[in-house]
Amino acid sequence: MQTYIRGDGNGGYTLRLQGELDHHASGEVICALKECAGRIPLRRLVLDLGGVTFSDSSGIAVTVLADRLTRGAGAELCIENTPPQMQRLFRTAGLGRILGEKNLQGGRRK
Amino acid sequence: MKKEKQNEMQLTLDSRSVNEGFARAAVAAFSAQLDPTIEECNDIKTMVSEAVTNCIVHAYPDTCGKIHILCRIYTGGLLEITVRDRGIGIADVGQAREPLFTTGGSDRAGMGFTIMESFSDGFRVTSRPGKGTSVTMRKLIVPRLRGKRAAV
Repeated sequence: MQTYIRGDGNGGYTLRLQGELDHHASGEVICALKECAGRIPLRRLVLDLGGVTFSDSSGIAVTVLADRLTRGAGAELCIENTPPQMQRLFRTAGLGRILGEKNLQGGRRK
Repeated sequence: MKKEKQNEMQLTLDSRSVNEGFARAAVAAFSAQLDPTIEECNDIKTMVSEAVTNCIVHAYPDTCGKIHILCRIYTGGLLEITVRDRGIGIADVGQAREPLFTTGGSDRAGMGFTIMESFSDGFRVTSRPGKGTSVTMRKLIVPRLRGKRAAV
């Protein structure tokens, strides 16, 4: 799993994940998420899942953590490019009720 | 009608997280003879990943033990996967199967058993504290083109 952080210079950050997201890889992703959440100011975090080739429930835990960290920082969370396999996982976990169905497909949680 | 076994594969792994990807890839490769769709293959990989991760995180929390995977293919396109450990076991299987329940840290979703159950066509957990846990999952790979699958 590779993680890439990109800032827009105005409090917006994009965390892009590339590879398979499982328990083995989740530690690195959690570190990257916490690094993003620690940036000041943090206005918006984009979690770009377009490069995730496989995910198990570790992807659910990572997304819930991203939601918790951005809410704690008063920031906006955007989930982009969720692959179909992860959308199936998220729906099974009922994440649509927490994050909003639109957000799972690339919209924004205000 | 009684299902007849067509093929079998066994795999034993150390309970190291680096083996999660290998375990799901090996089972997916074995199941390829049933000609699953991409969605069915993803379901199989997800189920195996959850079961193996449970062994690593929960069965052997402070030690490295063995994880035994047994895959069987039966007539009619039935794939049966058993993931077994000799770890600490589960005191209350009913509670462990509840969504969001976890004894792991914040990096765990507590959705492992729920996903295994949702993605499979049959799911059974047996466990004895101090003796270990066995998870058996079944997945029916419905033939798409009759006569074009090797194992049926």
